[in-house]
Formats: sequence, C-alpha cells, structure tokens
Amino acid sequence: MKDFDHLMSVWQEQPVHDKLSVDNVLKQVKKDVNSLANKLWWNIIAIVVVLSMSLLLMIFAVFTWVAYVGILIMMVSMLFYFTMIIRHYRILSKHDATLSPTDYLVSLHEYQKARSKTVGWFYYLYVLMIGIGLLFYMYEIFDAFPLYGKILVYGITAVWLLFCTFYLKRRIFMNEQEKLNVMIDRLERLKSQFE
Amino acid sequence: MANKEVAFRNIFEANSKKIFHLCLGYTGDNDAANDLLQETFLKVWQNLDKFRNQAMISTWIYRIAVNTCLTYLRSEKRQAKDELTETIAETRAEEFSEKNEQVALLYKCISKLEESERIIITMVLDELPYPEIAEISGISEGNLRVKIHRIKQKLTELYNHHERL
Repeated sequence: MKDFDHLMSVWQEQPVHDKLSVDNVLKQVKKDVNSLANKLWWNIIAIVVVLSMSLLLMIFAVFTWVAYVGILIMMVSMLFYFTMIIRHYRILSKHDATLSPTDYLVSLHEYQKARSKTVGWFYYLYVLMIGIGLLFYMYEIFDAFPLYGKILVYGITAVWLLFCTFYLKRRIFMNEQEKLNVMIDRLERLKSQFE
Repeated sequence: MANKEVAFRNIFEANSKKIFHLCLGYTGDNDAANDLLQETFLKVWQNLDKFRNQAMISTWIYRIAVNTCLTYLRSEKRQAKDELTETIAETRAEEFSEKNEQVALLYKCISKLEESERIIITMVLDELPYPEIAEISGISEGNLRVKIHRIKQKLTELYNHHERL
C-alpha cells in the first residue's frame, strides 16, 4: 500500500524528456509568430489592394451614377468586412492567457458566442451588399450586351454568389462551428470542475 | 530583441521541465505535451513585454500553461486524440514497462482524473506552494486545500488499485 509521498518521489525521479531543447522551441516560436503575422498581413493586403483598385476605378473610369453607386456599395461592404477582420483579430489578441483560468474561460466563452453570431448574420449582409453593388455596376457595364449575354453574366454571378452562400460558406463555417461547439461544451464542463 | 531572446532562454531553461510535466499530466501523450509546451512558450514570447513582475515569473508561466491546456483543441484529430488519453497512457505503460513502470503507472492514474484535477495535482507533485497554485488556478486557498486533499486521496487509491492489478 503506497502513500502520496511515494507518488511524489516517483514523480520527481521521472527522466527528463529528450525533446526539450530551447533552440528548437525558440525556432518554432519565431516561426509561429511570423506565420500568424503573415496570415493577418495577407488578409489586410488583399483587402487594401481590392479597395484601392475600386477607388482608382471610381476616380479614373468614366461611368454614370449607377456604376458609381454599385462600386461604392461594394467598397462599403468590403470596408465593413475589413473592420470585422481587424476587430476579431483584436478580440482574439486581447485574450490574456495570463488571466486566472475561470476569467479566461468566461472571456473565451463570450467571444465564441459573439463570433458565431456575427459570422452568421454578417455574412448574409455582406453577400447581399456585394450582390446589390454588382447589380448596379453590371447594369451599366453590360448595358450594350445582347439579352442572352446579360442573362449569362447575371446568371453566372447569381449562381456563384448562391454557391458561396449556401455551399462554400456552409462547408467552411460548419467545421469552425463544430470546433466552437466542442470548445464551448468543454469550457462549460471545466468551469463546473473548478467550482 | 536580443535581450528578449536571452530572457526567453533563461525562462525556458528554468521552467520547461515542470511545464512539460504539467502538459504531459494533462494529455498523457508526449507529442501533444510537446505541442502544448511550444504553444505555452509561444504565448510567453508574445506576452513577455507585458510581464511587469506583478507575479512571480513561474506563476505567470504556469497560468499561461494551464489556460493553454484547458483550451487544448486545435483540430479534430487532436480532439479525437484527447479522448483517447487513457488509451495513450496505457500504451505508455507498456512502453515504459522495463524502464520506469512506476512513472508510467502514475501518468495512467493521473489520466483517470478530471481535467482540472490533473492540472492541480501536477502542480502539487511539483511542490508548488499552495498560495501559488491557488493564484494560478484562480481558486480560493481554502477551497483549493479541500480539493487537493480529495485529489491526493483519489490518486493514491487509483495508484494502489492499478498496482495490484
């Protein structure tokens, strides 16, 4: 019959793990930090490029007010999207891993809930705005097209937007949602364990 | 940057062994423990500038490690793996049968505890003072003492039970 002191001695005599190398960890840490920053930067660069191109188009191309309204609507929705990415990044980076676990879990729980809501309604609003913007823009650009050409262009665009909204988006976010749900369940279970 | 690297190296050398044990106690799996160790020190690196000596550095790192362990979930594969903690610990017991059967058995018993219990007991086994464990885990000291007493009993019973098998 062993007592807890015996377990203590077993624990303290356990061999040191070979993989523990400060150089490896430091290398990995730097790699991870860079990859996180790169990912964010690419998102920002992509949206800035598209917004700049739209702005140049508005300044240098000659349209009637219809196309301008279309471009403006798309630019506004992209700006919303851009601010959302930045906001999510800031919320995520605001999570202080040095907080006490209960506070940390509560803040994570709130974040997961807020994010799942925002991703849901925001996406539909975003697609709707992009759709309306495209409609205005294409109304002028393809004005000279024959009817079958217009039907084809509008049809392809509509199918693409519907595909993104009801198939691609579902697939992308379903995975994330599953993980979020598992995480929320897990956090709730852990919270009760700490009480 | 060079100063940060030196500070990081010192912090790693002084704390990595205990943090690894904490992660291994939580997951029961070497690879996952390594991942968690790296994730913990990634957060240490990212937050190092914010550390203002308001707590002991070891307490601060333990907190990060505990939170990293608690939110340990990166992929479905990892999730599936996590649920197999007990199986992994049993495999470990086989691998270590000649070398260090007792250590493997101890990890196997820890894997049978609840997540929060695993985290608390690894800190107890590493002889962290109770006020520090209370601060890290965010539980009041009185509540923690009761918890630790229960976990110690539970773990000792589990150990003795499995040793007899």
